[in-house]
Amino acid sequence: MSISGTMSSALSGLTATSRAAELISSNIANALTEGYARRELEIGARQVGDVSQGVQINGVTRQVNQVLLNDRRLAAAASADCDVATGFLQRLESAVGSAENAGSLVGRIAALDGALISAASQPQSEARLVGLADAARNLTETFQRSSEEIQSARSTADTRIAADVKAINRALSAVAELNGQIVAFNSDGRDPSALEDQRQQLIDRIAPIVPLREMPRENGRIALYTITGAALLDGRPAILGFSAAGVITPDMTLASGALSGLTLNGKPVKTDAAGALGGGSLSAQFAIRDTLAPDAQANLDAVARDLIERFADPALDSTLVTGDAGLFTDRGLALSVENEVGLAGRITLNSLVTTENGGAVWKLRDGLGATTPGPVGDARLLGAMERALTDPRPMSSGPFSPANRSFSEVGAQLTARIATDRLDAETEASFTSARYGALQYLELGAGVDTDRELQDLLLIERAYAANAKVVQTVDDMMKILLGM
Amino acid sequence: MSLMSIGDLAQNLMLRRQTTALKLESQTAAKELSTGQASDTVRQLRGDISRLAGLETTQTRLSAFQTAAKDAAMTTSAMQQVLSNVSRMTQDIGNSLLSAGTLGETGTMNAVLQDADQRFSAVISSFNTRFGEESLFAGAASDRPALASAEDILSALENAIIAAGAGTAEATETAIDAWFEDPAGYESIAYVGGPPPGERMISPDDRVEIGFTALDPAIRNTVKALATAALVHRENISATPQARAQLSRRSGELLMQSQAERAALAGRIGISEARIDEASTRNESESNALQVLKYDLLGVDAYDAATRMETAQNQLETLYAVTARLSRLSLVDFLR
Repeated sequence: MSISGTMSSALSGLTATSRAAELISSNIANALTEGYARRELEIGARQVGDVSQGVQINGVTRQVNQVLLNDRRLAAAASADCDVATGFLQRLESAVGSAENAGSLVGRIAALDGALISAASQPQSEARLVGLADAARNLTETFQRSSEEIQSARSTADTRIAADVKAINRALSAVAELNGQIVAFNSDGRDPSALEDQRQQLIDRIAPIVPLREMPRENGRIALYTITGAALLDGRPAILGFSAAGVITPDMTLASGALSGLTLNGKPVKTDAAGALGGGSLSAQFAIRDTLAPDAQANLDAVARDLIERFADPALDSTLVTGDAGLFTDRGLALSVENEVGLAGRITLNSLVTTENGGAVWKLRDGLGATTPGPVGDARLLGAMERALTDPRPMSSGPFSPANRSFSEVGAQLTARIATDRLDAETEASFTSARYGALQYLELGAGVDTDRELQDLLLIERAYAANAKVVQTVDDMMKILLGM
Repeated sequence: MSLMSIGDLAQNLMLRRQTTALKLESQTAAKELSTGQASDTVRQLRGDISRLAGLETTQTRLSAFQTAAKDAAMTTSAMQQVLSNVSRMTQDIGNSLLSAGTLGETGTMNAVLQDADQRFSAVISSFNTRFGEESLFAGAASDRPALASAEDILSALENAIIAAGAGTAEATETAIDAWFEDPAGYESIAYVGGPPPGERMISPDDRVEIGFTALDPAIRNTVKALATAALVHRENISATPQARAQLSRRSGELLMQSQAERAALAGRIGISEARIDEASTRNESESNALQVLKYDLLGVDAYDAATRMETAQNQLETLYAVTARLSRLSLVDFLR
């Protein structure tokens, strides 16, 4: 039976090489597909009875380095975490502005100071009083804009959390379904590689949101755990719960119940970086919504309060009595200490000095409570206001170290704090992103290399030709036998 | 594994990352080269922006103080101009009044008195000079003139004399003196301005007093001298020729005295002017010094920036060449 054995060996070689060529063509076609793992044909010598005869295909392996894959996913989560925080701080910094910029908080404070000096120099000049009112209004607008920016960052974070939670839920149930299909394919002896690629892509998509680890289970199934040990998928997918709040105002907090927390299978979980789902962009968004942005708002509110207090002192403006709103108001009213949250978003110029509300700019010179204009050349109040702005005094609230500061120093402190936070975050972000890049490079390095595939193809071509030659020779041999 | 092959995407990722990094670097260097300032000031200052903020704030304040100093300089120089105008107008008339009063010759005296009367109005309008939106000698009420009209002053003065029942020249003099010192007299009727406006801020440290009002004795006595002459000229008070001559002489004497007092006032204004000038110079030099400091804080070495830009661009060009070479370098092209 040796001739037919030869024929059979040659045919198995032809089958194996053409299968190998098929895999190479698939590899080359997917050279640019991210998440595609290179396929390799596993072949071995075939044993027929007690003789080894031809080659057999043992299966197709996806070339995946699971350790590297897990590390890369964790790095992606860490990098996304830092990027989100950095993005927020950059946004905050640009809202408050850079100190050398005239439109910044520091610049606006300086402009108000300058306008007070100019107005005090020519108190009879309507133009300078209007300039002073404008400078004061610009300063309040800077506060309002920064406050709006902070709250809109919170709203954005809230919306992103909702979108991320939805993405995770959808991905987890899709992965669970794929798990089932892969098990079915494996038991049928079909090649589940394409399904495994899909599964890997799905997990890659949610890996930056929540840092997770993939654990192999029987029959090609996998389980997903977060690094803090919460099971996202082991058999059946976990369900995350969250409800977006829409527009967020400063008084809405997680503690007050106005903002939603996170549930895992219906049970509330901690949302900070150390929580069950912490460490990725999801917890970073929660951090923006619940700590970073509220802290920034509190700092800004403390600065706004300092400004209001500086100008509300009845000793400054004798036409005011204690309890009257000063030049700067909490939306038209005097400051109320228990209502400090969100003050920066509500600070406005007293309508007594804005012409569009029936006020008059001469009240800047003669006192907010004055009923008739005083001597137009009287600069005492304007001079006193300038001193109120520049005199060092302690702040009544806020996290700043206790010291006497002029208002421009207060503004500079706030700006410096934000700037330093941003620098620190950027430094960390560049570190995590470099690590992510390095791991990504390693992972992609194990991907499809077209040159290598072509080299393999050359080998296969030669092997195929050789096997075909064997078939031809066997055929010739058979003919000789038949022609006898 | 990794020794045997390198995935196509890995090479692509590496090239892409390097291109982006180099582009970013060359852009930063180009921006710094063209502006002369660090592109990220916070990074340049290592987060400590309080000094920069201080510089910016002080510069804005100094420029406002500079405006204030210029305002004050213009006001004081306009005051000096008024005083010198008044001196020019009253210079000769004092002598003339004195000699006409001494000689007692009616024709000459009437002519001189008429001249004095006209100059009285002119001097009042001089003291009421407005400079810009500012009435110079009206104190805080700088939207109003400093002095009432000549007619108002004279009629009030006349009433006071009549009320005092002054018949003789001496009694009239006393009544006039009393009216000019009386808070209900000159201060409330002739002077229609406001209280002194207080000091002006002209530099972070300097306050200067330029609230010279028409209540100043120099101006008060000038008005008194000319008002006496005008009163005599208008014959509103009944007086003998001798009394008229005596009052003319007295008016001449007062005018001569006020000349010296006005010179002293001009001297006081001059001292303020000198202080304003000094403050202005100080503001200017401080502002310049701060500008230099700011460049020290934020500036980048142009040579350094140019070198970085050159290096980044060279690297970028090399990278482009490498990218082109690598992308051509494929086994596909060699398989026939």
